Formats: sequence, C-alpha cells, structure tokens
Amino acid sequence: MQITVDAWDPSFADNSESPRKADSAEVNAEVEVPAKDWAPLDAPGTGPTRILVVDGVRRLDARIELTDETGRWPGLCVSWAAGAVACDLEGGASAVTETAVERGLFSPIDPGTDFGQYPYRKSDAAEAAELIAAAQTAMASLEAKVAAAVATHAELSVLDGTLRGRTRLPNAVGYIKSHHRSYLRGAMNGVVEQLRPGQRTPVFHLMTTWPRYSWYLRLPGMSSKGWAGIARIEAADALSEEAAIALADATAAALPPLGSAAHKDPRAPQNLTPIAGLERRLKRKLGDPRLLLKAVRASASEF
Amino acid sequence: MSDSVGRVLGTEDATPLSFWVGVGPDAYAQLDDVLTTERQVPGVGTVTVSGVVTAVRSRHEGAQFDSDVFDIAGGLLPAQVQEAAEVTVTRVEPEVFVPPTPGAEVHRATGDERDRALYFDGMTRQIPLGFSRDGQPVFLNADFLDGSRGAHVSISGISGVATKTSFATWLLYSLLHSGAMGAEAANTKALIFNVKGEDLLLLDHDNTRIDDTIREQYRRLGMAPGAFKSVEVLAPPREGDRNGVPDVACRSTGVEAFYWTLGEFCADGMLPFVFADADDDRQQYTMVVHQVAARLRKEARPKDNGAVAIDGQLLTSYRDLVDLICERLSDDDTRTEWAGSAIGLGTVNAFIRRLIASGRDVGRLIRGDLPSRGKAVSSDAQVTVVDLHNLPDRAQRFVVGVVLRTEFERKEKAGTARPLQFVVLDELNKYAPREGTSPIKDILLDIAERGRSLGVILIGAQQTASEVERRIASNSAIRVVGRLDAAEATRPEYGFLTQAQRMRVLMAKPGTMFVGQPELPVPLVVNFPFPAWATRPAEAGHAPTATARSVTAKVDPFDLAGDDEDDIPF
Repeated sequence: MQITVDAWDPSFADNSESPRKADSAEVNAEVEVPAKDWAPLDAPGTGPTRILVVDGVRRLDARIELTDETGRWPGLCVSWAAGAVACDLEGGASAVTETAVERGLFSPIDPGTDFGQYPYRKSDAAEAAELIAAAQTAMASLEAKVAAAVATHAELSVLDGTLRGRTRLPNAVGYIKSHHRSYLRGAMNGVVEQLRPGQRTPVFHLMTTWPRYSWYLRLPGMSSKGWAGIARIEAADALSEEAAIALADATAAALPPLGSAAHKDPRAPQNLTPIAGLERRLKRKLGDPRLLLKAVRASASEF
Repeated sequence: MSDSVGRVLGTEDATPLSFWVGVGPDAYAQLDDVLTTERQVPGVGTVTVSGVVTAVRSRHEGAQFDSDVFDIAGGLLPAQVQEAAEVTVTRVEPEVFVPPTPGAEVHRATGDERDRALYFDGMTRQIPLGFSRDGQPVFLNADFLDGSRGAHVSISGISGVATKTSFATWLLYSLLHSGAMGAEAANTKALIFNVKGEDLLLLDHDNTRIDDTIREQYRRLGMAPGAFKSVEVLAPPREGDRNGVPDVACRSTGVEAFYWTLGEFCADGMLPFVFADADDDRQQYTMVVHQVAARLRKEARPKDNGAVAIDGQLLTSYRDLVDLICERLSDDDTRTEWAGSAIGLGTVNAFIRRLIASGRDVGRLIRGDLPSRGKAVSSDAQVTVVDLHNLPDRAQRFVVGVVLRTEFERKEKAGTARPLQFVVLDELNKYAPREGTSPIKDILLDIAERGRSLGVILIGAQQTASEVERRIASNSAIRVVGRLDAAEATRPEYGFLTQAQRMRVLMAKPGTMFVGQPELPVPLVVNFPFPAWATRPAEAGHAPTATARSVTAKVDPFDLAGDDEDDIPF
C-alpha cells in the first residue's frame, strides 16, 4: 500500500455544506397558544443562573490518498474536540469543566498499521464530503459523551447544534445558530420577524425525521430586523408540553445576555460568548496543525 | 526540601540568562524569590540553573479584547488566570550555559540551594546586609568591601526617604559586629562626616525605640543589637567662643572641638582648601592661591598657642592672617613676591575679595589662640564622627578636604593597608562633581583609585550618582540604591539594575535598598533592620559610661577620698 499526503492546505477540503436530505417537516403550532393567537412572547423576569454550554470543534489536519491493488481511496486525518463550560452567573465565574480531544483517520480501507496519532475509523464513503460528514458524526458523539458527563447539575444545558441523539439529558436544549430552511408557514414567519431582542415565539412541535419541541428566540444585536440575531432552540420530545414551555422561558431569560458582540465574533450574536471562549480553548487543545501535518507526512513516508 | 513553584515556559524564550516560569495553580512566586531548576546535559550530567524573580505577571488566557474581562468576571466567558514569573539567572552550575528545558519543574530554593544560587556559599566572610522579601538573610562578600578583591561603596537615593546614611552606618555596624572581619574588626576605624542635622552624633547611645522583633532580627543576622561601642564626636568650636567649646546641641559628653592652628594652616599648606568650590577652579586666581600658600609655608614662624609670626608680625587669628595677606598683595613692592609675577591686578583683587569673604566661614576653625590638638581630627575611638552640619558650605569643604588629605597621607606613610580606615561621606556630588576639578575631588579620586591598596575605603552617598565623577562611581565595588527620582532612575549609572528594578526603585520604601555586588549579576533587594543606635535625641537612651567619664576628665574624684593622710583641702 502507498499513502500520499496532499500538499494543499487541508482546510480547502473543509466544505461544511454536508449533503442533507430534504426532510418533510410537520409542524404543530398549537402547543403553547392557538395558531391564530401567535405573537411574540416576553421573557420572564428571572431565569436560571447555573448554565452549562457544550460545544465541539473539528479540524481537517491532512488529506491523504491510499493506493492499493484495488485502486485509489481518499482519506482524511481529522482532529476534533468537545468541551463544556459551566457558567455561574450569580457567582460570576465560568470555567471549562470538561474537555476531550480525539483524532481519527477516516477512510474506506485500513492502512493496517498505526498511522501517526490518527487511529483508523472505518467509513464506507468514497467521497471527501461524506468523510467530513462521518467526522462530524464522530464529533457529535464526543459532544454527547461530554454533555452526559457534566449535564446533571445544571439548571439549563445548552448544546450547540441540533439535539438529535442527545435527548436524554435533563434540562437540555439544542441551540441552532443558522437557518437553512424555515419550518413555519406564512404568518408565523412574520411573528419571527416581529420579535424584539429577548422575545421568543410560542413553542411548536416539529417532526421531520425525528420529533422535538422547538421555538425561535431573538438575541440582542446590532440589527433586529428580519432574521438577524434569531436562534432556533430545540427541546426533547419526551418532555411534557409544560416542561417544554418552562424550558423555553428559561432560555428566553438566560440566553440573551450571553449573546456575543459583533466586533468580537463574526457570528454574533448567535455564537454565545461562552461558546466563543470554549471554542478558542478547544482549538488550542487540537494542537498545532503544522506540527500534526508534519507528523502525518513522516508517517506516510514510512509506507 | 524545596517546594514546587511551576514549570519553565515554552511560549517565552528560555535562555541561560533569563527564563519565564508558569506558576502552578497552588503556588505563587513573588519578586526577589530565589528559584531553581535542573536539566540533563549529555556528557555533563545535571546542570542546575538558579536565579532571582525579577518580574511577575498574571493574565487572562482566552481573552482577546480588553472588554472580555467583564464577561469573564460576570461568568459569561471561560478564561484561565495564569501567572508567570521572570527569573534572571544568577548561577549556572556547573558552568555549562544551556537554557533550562521548557516544561521542567521549577522550585523555590531554600537553605543550601539558596546560598548557592546567591553565591553565599563561596563567601568565606559574610557581612549581613539584612533580609530579602522572603525573610531570609542576605549577605555581602567582605572581600569586596575590605579591599581584598574590591573596595568602596556608592549609595544613591533621594534625600529623606532613601535612608542612605542609615544604611551606611548599618553597613559599618554589621561590618564591625558580625565577626566577618575577625579580630581585625577591633582595629578597624571609621570616619563619618555628619552633614545633615545631628543624626549621626548619637551613634553610641542605645535606641529606645527598638523592640524584641528588631532585636530578634539582629540576632538572626548573627550580631547583638546595640549602639556603637567606641565613638568620638568632633564638632567645630562655637562661633565667637574663645575657649573652643564644641558647637553641639544634642549631647554634652564625649564631644571634642576640632580646629587647626594658624601654624598648621601655614605649614601644611591648607589655603587651597579654602578655595575648594567647583567654580573656583575655573578662575585665574587659583595661581595666586598656590603662590600665597607657598609663601605662607616659607615665611610663617610658629609661636605659642598656635599663633604665627610673619615678617616679625604676630598673628593670632585667621582674620589677622587675611589682613596681612591682603596688605602684602595690595602693596606694589611685595605683590610680585606673594602673588607671583605677571599676575593681573584684577586677578589679585578677585583673590582678595574671596579671601576676605572666607574669614567669616572658616575663621572659627583656624585659630591662633588655642593650643594645637596635635592632629586636628584623630581619636582613639573606633568611630569618629566629624560634625559639619553647623558649618557653612565653604567651611564644610575646607574640613572635608583637609581631613581627607591628612588621613590619606597618614595611610600613605604607614605603608600598610591594615588596619582599615573607612570614610563615610554624604553628598559626594558636591565634593566630587562630574564637571570641573577641585582639590577635594582630586583626593577623592585618589582614594577611589588607590585607596583599596592603602586601606582607605570610601562609603560615599549621593542623591544622584549621575552627577558624581564617573571614575569614583566606577571604582565602587558595591553599589547601593534606595528610592530614586524617576528621571534619575533612567540614567546609565543605574544600568546594573534590571528593568523591573528600575521601576521598583521609584517606590522603594525607607529601609529597602537594592544592593549590587560584583559576584551577583542581579542586585539583591534588602530590608535592613531598624538602627539599634539612636538617630535623633528623642530616641536616645542613656549616654554610655565611657563618655560620661570624659566630663570629669582624667582624674578620678574618689582617688582623693581614699587618701587618709590628706585632709580635704579647704
């Protein structure tokens, strides 16, 4: 077998637009208020003070090509990390409580020996984009592992990204920053646009490939028009409607102060301040990409 | 065993001369702590790198913007507080100058490790200097003070807060009482010029303000707290007093007056020291000064009580002498003999003007009505304090110049460096200014350059080292700095201080000194103990019995009472 390392910067292969299937979405808007009464809702005066935020980062370290008698196969060396920040707003302290770093070589065929610091992870995909999706899944499962380790004591756990596969955690919500599609219809989308900072829409039940409760929340930012500063939040389907509404109120009270400032974060205000701090820490934990790439090249040359 | 402080940082360059230490979460490092680390060098073995903490910093890691601090303090943004300490290396052992390895453990040096790091282990004779910030004693190598390998001390600092004279006397006390000099300490003498207030006139009185804590400090440094044992105070005679009573307010015993007779003044050529101003030197009339001095030496015939006769005329006071010189210089017939040929009348008049003005200043020091004291300034006491604070500037210069010259000549003639003679002189920038020359500056330069081999050690103090003759400062083996003025601290004379220390001297408290000694690449910060001797009358305890006895002079009154044969004589 022969392994060659792509001379290009591996981040050129990092196309986050992973292929998604066109889900058919079923929305039940009558969970909290009747659909005809939909209007922006104000946040309660007080909210949780002990908040846990979980996030992960991922980086492609090297693109490689494995050649054996059966042909040429793509491979990806990926590092990913997940961590949690416990924010105690009353005590004025936030700390990264748990972090984990993993690496892997994603490829359809096994190089057979230990490849640098990257253990082999089987992936049937033959295209780079699918390999990236596999790495994303690995990161999500590490995030779930970290969240499971720490989420028990928090009044509110905010998990970055969709809640899929992590619905068992208590008081957990999924936090989605960007909107690739809109699930609501017509007038209800108008309610989202009417939201003022700190307000949320009523809770609705969303069923695509999996069921969950969801609502939109506007974070304070430079502009409060259109969909700027809107985040979508998910809660587990297993909750009662009252519990889901309570969680929605908790997020409306707790999350707006955490919104980041535009000059500090290109994804402001949706990228929450604790998440930004956590991501910086996690990226440092991933190690120096140039050193890792050097190690990959050294391993490749041994084949 | 020493405790761990942290690890050598890899994000800052580690060099054999300085390196940074990441301070561990449960540890701390403060300025002046002594830290040490080890590394393995192939073929050499373990190399120990030790140094002194010269800077400490702490920062929020993970924060990018200044405003992040509010998010961090508010609990929104996770960040880590990380402290780091800069260590300036003092010693690498064995001398393989390799940088410490990043990640290597660093621990606080204690006991023998600390002694090695600060070279105390190689100091066979240690003079205690005080305590460093961590409460451990700090020493000076006596070899660099007594002339064996170096000599002279230069102390700089602002007047009032820098405690320069206190440190100078403390250094003397430590030198004489710590045992570092061995048996030689008994013969070692010190000459102290007291220029401000009556601060130094009570060196032999116990300080009533010291308590057990201070006594314990002295004991920890290996000496008994107390006043100087053998002190003699010399003060100028009172103005207008015919009997030469010393002009001192704060003590009545153990004080002698000092003065010179006209005979000594003429024979020893002291006239140039009357003209010892820095700006005097730029004038033409210095030629006249030397000419007149030579003439006086040749013409003056000593008479009783220190008076002199010149050309058969009896002179019994300095003013008589001034009048005679003026008369001779004004007379066309004698002017060439006294002032030298080809001297303009203007120059002669300038000399006359200044000579007459000097009568008021030095008149009480140069007497023709009192017997000679033998040597004007000399005593059997170990410490001689010459009080100048009542004298005008010209008279102070005269006394310092004449006394220093006499001492230097005495040591020169003795031909041996031992016993040592220490000279403590404040306001060195006045006596040895960087610009210009003066007779005193010449003597001080001589002391600075040759004093080491002659056994005359100068402990000079000044507000600004930048204004003192460079060769005097550069000949000082030991440099001491107290609180400095901000502009002064940036001058190259203080280049031996580290960058951080230059900032620290601006806020140094009284009693804190930065002491640079040749063996150590970093000056040590020292807190010296409160003086155990009185520094002002309010602090003074009882006068020592030895000085009290001087009141009743040589005769013991009880000798008479023991004599049965003799009746009381009245």
